[in-house]
Amino acid sequence: MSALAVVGMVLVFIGVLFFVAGSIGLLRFPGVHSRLHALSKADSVGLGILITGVCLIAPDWLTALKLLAIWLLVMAASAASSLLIAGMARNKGICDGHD
Amino acid sequence: MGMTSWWLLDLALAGLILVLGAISVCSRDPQRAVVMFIAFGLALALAWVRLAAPDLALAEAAIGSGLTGVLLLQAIKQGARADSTENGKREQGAEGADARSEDHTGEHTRGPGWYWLSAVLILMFAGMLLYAIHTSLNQGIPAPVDAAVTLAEQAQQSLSSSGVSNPVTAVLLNYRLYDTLLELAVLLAAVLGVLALGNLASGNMAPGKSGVGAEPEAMTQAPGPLLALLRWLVPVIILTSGYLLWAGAHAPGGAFQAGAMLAGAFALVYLCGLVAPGPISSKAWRASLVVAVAAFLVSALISVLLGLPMLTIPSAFAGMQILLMEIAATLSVAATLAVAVAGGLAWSERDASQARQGGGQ
Repeated sequence: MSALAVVGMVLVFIGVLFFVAGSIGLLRFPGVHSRLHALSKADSVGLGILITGVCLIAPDWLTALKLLAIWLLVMAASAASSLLIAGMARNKGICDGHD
Repeated sequence: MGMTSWWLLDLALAGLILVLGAISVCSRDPQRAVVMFIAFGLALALAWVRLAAPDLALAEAAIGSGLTGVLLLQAIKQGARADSTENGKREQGAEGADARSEDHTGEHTRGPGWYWLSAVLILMFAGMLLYAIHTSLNQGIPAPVDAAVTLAEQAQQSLSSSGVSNPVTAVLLNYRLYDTLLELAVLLAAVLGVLALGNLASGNMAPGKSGVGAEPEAMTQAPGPLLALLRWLVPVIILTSGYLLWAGAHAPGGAFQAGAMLAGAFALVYLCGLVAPGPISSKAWRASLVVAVAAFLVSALISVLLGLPMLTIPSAFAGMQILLMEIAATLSVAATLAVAVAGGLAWSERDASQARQGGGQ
């Protein structure tokens, strides 16, 4: 049980690394699309790893299921909103990487 | 890992709330201010969770951050359009969204006297509040900490006869029913104001037919993946709303949160042009708007007819009566917020068509 918790902790740490990288990318990357790329990586992969880790630490199966549902919801919302932002940027012509 | 490690999160959260609030207030760009306001609301919701007030956290996230954010963004959109049509390149960001939306009254220039008058009025109001607090403290009402403890104990003591097991719901729909009735009446008055100001008053709530027959941008641009998302997300939201309504009796939740979720689902499908909700003058919309106040007034009448003090609930039927009132309140809250969202959009679409006709931008 303790080994499981340690694995969970490591996964949470890796997930947090993805979020840090995504945040740095959001701040430092040029252009809307590459920023979105960085952000959506953090949202989908980072949150997935983080939630897998939290699931391993979670006290029961029901909590783990709820966490997985949260992950699915965030992924769907993140995909749709990234698409909306990217589409809006293209329509307004602000995706050339020089803004 | 224990209680001792929470202080770091609490400190970060408190700092984040202060920073977001400061940026939101000080920002000269209205859009940034609103986005920061939404983030501020979410951080505030987390703070309520940390303060063990999940009911407030839900309400803050759904109403304070989510729906208010939608309304403010619409107000900005409308203000930007008004600027581009009526004023050309006006100085950006000198005024907030509120002042911009007031531009529709035709009042474009306000001298410094207006701001001094506002400042004096606000200071007078603040003074009145301070005076009220001062006098109430002097009149022997116990200090807030003691009062909170005593009230919480009282709420717990009568919980078994209140009809519900969630003390927050017991306060809202049993102990302090009078306050909740007045809150719902305020909501009703507010939505009447929206109806009077927007072009919904002309009986039109369908975005595609708002006065000038202009298709809203959102309707033509909603891309396939977004529609696919909504197709399964909206039923989940409606289900969650029903759960919150039902859970309010024994867990965090209740009519306001459930109604806000329903209105959120409405806002999503409405802004994407998936529904044409029909004229506001229809019986269904009007009934939804007033059903909460009506249900509460019926409750008041029943208590009077039974010879009880007004708005007390006989404990034999308390559970059922509270559930019925919660359902009515959910409907009214949802309808009120939905009309507010749709009202703002219908109004701004009218401005958009004027902008196109006037050759703005």
